[in-house]
Amino acid sequence: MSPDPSTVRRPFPVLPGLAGLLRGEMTRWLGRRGLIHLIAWTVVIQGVLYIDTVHNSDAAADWRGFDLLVHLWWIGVPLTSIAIAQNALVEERADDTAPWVLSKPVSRSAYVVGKILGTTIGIVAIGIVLQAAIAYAWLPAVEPETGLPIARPELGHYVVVLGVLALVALMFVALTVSLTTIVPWRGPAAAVGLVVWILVWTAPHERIEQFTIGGLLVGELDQPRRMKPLAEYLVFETPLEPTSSIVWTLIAALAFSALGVLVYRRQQF
Amino acid sequence: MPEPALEIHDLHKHFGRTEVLHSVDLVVPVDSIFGFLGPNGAGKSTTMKIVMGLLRPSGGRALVFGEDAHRHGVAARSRIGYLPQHTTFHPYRTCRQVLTYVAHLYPGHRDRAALHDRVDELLDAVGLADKAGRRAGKLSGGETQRLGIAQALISDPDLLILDEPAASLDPQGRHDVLTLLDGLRGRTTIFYSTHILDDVERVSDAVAILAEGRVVAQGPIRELLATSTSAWTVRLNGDVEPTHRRLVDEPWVTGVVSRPRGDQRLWSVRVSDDAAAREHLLPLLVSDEACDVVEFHPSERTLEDAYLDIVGANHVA
Repeated sequence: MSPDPSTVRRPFPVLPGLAGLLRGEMTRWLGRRGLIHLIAWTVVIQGVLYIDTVHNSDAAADWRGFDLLVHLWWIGVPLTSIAIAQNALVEERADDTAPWVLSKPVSRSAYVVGKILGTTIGIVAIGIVLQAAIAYAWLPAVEPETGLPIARPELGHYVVVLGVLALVALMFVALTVSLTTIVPWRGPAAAVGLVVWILVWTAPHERIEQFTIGGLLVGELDQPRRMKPLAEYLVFETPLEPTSSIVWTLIAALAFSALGVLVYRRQQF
Repeated sequence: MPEPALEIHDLHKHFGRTEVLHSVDLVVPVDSIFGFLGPNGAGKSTTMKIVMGLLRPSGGRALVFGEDAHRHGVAARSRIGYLPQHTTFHPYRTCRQVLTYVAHLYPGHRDRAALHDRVDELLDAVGLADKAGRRAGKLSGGETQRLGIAQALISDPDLLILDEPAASLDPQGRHDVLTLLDGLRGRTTIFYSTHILDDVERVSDAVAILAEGRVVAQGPIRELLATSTSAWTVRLNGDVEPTHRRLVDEPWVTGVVSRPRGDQRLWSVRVSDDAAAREHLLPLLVSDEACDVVEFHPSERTLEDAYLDIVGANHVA
């Protein structure tokens, strides 16, 4: 066809089509899906914080609320990541839109990476960053029944905590998406994701702590409110250790993503 | 001579032990409207899916403007607009969003205002201008097919690959699609599969016929009609079975297609030797007293006749 002067041809990037795929994922988050998540996250997170801080006359520390926020994220972020990611590839495979998208000039790698990043970005934006901003704004501004005001955590530490939680979201999304490239059904992928989450949570053994994000995030089941390094880092500004667990979680996220890409590249439609 | 838009060399595809394509060779010239014909299960969609990188070839290769469709799939697909046989879109996107989404998947795309205009233009061209804001999941089958054609055109492709573009369209929709394709003549190459031979004859420059995974004929339609066997139209009244049995035993008869016409039977008798048919066909028909010959004349050769001859369709009494 005759060239259009408003059309600009650009060289193929490393992951051809990724920008367009991510744009498509983002438009979905800006629609009904995003609204539902926004309402659900806000009601649950801010509601629990409100009940636990404003009307809890037993809580007497000036940092209360922010430690609870970390614990709520540890429950909400992995579960939401697994719930959305188990459907990310399977949904388009089931309704036959995957071959339609892949018939465009996009690589299989870009398609899988687009699903992982698109899902992660949505969860991080709505479930972590937005909730963090809301809590950061209102928690120190209210007058608790105890009369002791709540102090804002140091902003730099707050941002680092959000970064660690974003990594948790990425790891669980990548794990679940990669599983659906191997077993193209929602149930098994979600089940494995849940088992990994429970293992990381319930087995904060010294050795496991070095290699999983659980060492930074959680307390034992019988002591759910026990302060752990990430919460202590946020409210007491103690050093964030073990940092190896962050590195290993990043490695796991990249390894799961690579596995998903490798398997999906061999599939036929 | 310009490089062909699509070249397929010695293409093989098997699923397990089932071989679907056996050494398919095909050349689609630039700017042609090329019909890809064949019975169900012949391998048309499989061939197209290999070109689109959705299936891996078991052997051979497909070149899109000289670019290997498997090894350099993204580069090849950047010049193709494709309509799959079973068209589905993200049900949560509106028609306008579907077209915008597809436009952004191509490496070069228009600025926002130009893209908006192009989307309007295409929605209008396929008769969906008043449904721009309707979600794809709420469209009827025909509307989905129209949207499928629009999304295939959104990137102004050099090669348009359409798998059954007129399927699920009503007569008006079919007419509109053919007019649209005809309007693209000389501006882009169109490679499309269909079962509707009248459509092929109306708009195509050339065709290829695929049967049981092999290309059994290809070339300009005129040449195909010239090389095909001739046919005779016969209308009979009465018990036609004995005549039919005698007829199909004749060595110069290649096939008899029979259709009911009221109480009578209308036959299209295809012959390999026109001289023999002129000499023997009518005497053979009138020699049987169980039936009367109501109509008898040479048929105007159509693509359907050529197609049926070539794929070896035989007598259906």
